[in-house]
Amino acid sequence: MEQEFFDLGAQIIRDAEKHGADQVEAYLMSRKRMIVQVEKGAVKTAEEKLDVGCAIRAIVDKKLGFSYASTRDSEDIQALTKEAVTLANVSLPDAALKGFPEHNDSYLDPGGLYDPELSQMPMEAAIELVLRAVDACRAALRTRKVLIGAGLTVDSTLTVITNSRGIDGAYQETLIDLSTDPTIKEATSQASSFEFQISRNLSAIDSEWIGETAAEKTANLLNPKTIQGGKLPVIFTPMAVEWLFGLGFAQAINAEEIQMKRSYLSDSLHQPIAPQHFQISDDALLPGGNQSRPFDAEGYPSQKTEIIAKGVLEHYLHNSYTAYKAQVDNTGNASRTPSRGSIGSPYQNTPTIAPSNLVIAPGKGTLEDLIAETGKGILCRCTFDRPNLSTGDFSALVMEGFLVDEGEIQHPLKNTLIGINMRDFFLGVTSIGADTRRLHRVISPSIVIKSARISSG
Amino acid sequence: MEDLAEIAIQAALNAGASFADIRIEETHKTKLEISDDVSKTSLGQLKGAGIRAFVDGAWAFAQSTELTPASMKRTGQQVALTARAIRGRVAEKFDMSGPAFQDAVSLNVKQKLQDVPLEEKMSLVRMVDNEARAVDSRIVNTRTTYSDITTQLFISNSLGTRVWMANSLPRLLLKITAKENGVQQRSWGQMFGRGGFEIIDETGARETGREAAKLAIDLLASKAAKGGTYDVIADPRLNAAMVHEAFGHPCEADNWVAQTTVLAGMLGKQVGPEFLNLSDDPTIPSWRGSFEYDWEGTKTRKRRLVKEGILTDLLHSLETAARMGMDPNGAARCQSFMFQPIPRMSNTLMERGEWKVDEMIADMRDGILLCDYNYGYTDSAKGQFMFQANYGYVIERGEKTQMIRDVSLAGQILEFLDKIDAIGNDFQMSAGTCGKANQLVPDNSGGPHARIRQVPVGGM
Repeated sequence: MEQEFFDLGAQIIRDAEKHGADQVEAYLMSRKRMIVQVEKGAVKTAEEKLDVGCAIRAIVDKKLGFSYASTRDSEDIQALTKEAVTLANVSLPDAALKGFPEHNDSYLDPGGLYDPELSQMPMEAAIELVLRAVDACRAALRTRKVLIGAGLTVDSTLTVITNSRGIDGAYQETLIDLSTDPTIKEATSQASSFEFQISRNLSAIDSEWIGETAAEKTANLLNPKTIQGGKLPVIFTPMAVEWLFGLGFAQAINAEEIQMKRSYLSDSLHQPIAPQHFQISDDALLPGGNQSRPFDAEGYPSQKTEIIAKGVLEHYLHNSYTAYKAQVDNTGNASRTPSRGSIGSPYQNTPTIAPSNLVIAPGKGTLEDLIAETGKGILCRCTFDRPNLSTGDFSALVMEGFLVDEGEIQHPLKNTLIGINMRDFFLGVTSIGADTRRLHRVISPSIVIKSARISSG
Repeated sequence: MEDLAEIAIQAALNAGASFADIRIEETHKTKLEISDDVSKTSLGQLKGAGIRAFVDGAWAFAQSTELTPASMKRTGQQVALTARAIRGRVAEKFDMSGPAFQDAVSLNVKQKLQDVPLEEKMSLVRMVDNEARAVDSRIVNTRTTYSDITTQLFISNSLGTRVWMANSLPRLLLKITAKENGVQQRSWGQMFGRGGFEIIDETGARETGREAAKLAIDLLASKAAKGGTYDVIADPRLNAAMVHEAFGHPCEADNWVAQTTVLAGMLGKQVGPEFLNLSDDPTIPSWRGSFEYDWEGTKTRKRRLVKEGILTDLLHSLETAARMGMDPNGAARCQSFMFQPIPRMSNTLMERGEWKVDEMIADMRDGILLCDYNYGYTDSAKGQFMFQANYGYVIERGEKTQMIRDVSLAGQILEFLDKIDAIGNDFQMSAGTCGKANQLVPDNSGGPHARIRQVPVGGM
């Protein structure tokens, strides 16, 4: 299919130029997706989907148009090409639009992106993998009344990008995401939690660990209590860090948000915003990274970029447009899947900016060490909130968390909110653990902050 | 289309499925955005079929973008064989049943979205964006987005349903950022509906933009809320979102058959005060969440979820209705043919009460009035929810005082409804896009002001 995609790309470029485009880009994608869903501990649904689509960008007189369709049919694509040029003609001219990136060399391969075994995994094997997690969870909770849900998604994707300035790139990738989410029902309390693993490789998935850990986490959440509010230290585990950084921080360092003056970090480049020991990089070349790729969504080569080094905000994340506008180097962060849970296939999204793998450098100690050091505070394992992009204010419900006192976990929390401005969050980082986890978009250990406003009731 | 659907369904039945259905869809999407005189524009087309097969409680699903007889036959067979392969691993065996419908519904609009030239739509966006920007020099960024979706959908199943549907959803959305002395704030405004381009009328669009811009300026003087437990009055937009999140989702019956809702066992029981009435109604003309038939081809009707405080109805797909022994009520929806239909909300409402809003505020004496909605979410199994209001006002001695921003509030579903002690006699709708199981669907939520006692509120 790769050659077919390159042929279609060449056809798109020829046709768009005939319609009057100055520059053209074709993005073609084929994704085979397998999904298994488990309800009440047994298989509910199995899906096998082939999603093939095409997206075209055309520039006419410094005006940009974008069109896409769920097709690889040559006639449909001819119509789509014309639409992209038509749309470019009605768009506003943009003096900062230099054009699509150029690259006439080979790409660095991060390695470990494609697992043939995963790509060819039969449905029966996928079902076995999920049910092993379910069985492990059930066994761990055998004395309780429990309902077990679980889900497995396996993707095998081919991406091709070609443009009229010499970009010709293609790569294959696989990704597996296995989760288990038990619900325990007791007479006086009901609790639910989840655990998951995501990887490029089948061999990295441990069904039993997922099931057993989900069981343990759920049991620990029974009988939650409210607490006395006030200012308290907070420990954010890697899963909580992913929501805070993978969504919130990622948006705040997006150069488009910066240039449009929508981010609270708009005036913070090269300023110290965190303690010296706090370091974050964006690494699209990380071997086997869940967001690694040889090139970004415009075909620009991938790289590693220091975001916060020794506490100083060193770089924003750029695509070709924002880099040219700011007269800085492109960091290769063009993306068609702007966040975890983005809806729709990548070809359906206009290219924007997103991190690849956001890597927070580890410090020292296990989570237990951090809890012991903290003395009294809150352990936040999971929140689904994100900071206000304009102000940096972060007001979040602790979806899964615990009161920590005398260096030990006391009880799970109910109706408890954390409030802190992100500037204070960064400056207040007191400890960073060594319990690093690879999640969807963030690779992070646990992080402890000195103080946040806790409300509970 | 109808021939292709028949081929797929017959192939699935011949391969051993006891039930099969298909959605064949063609959707066109337009998105025109201007921010700081830079435009982002896109035109999209989704065309294809989603096919499901069922046997003995097991479902299989596949999609195809090749709308040919050979592809339909192949995909129909494939889903049936997959369903048969997993039939021995299901938790509960049941049969699919339900009524069959035959209809072709056309949508009457004054000005078809596809007939309006792109230049005219772009011109509207530019005008609204410019006028919002001109409201005050402290506005540092405006982002104005016009989007529309037009869909032709054919739904067919092995029970005999054959339904043609159409949808047409225009929307105008503004996001404004203002800045002064290092303080930065944002606001938003929108126009929406189900119908033609006439819904985004020029006068209303201008006013929407100017109001959003004025709100961003007002927010510059706001302060972060102080965390604590407060008596709260939610304005119609926030109240509507709370009804949607905290009560609508737990009423989706797939949570019931999976036994992952805290409302399980509460059908026919008191869940709130006697003056509380909640409903989900997809039959209201021109509302964004309306549709005549759901994505399984079942005729829709109004669902009285809570009547006088008693939980009386749920949101059903064919499957959940069959498993729970209730009548299907047309609540199965999916984002596109690429997804399976599941129970979803449409236009979700809290019905008016008797309180005048001013009297409700005066009667509260001290607390917080919370307005508008940034986002929120619910964990139906835990019964936990969280919302973030865009802004609000501290109420002191029955008067609105300091403006506050980004106020989060949390609660437990079953405790929350009992805490409502006053419902206003006003009403307002708000458009949304609801996410569940990695699918987004357009919806509406609405309601009056409502007062809730002793709510934990997050703050700095």
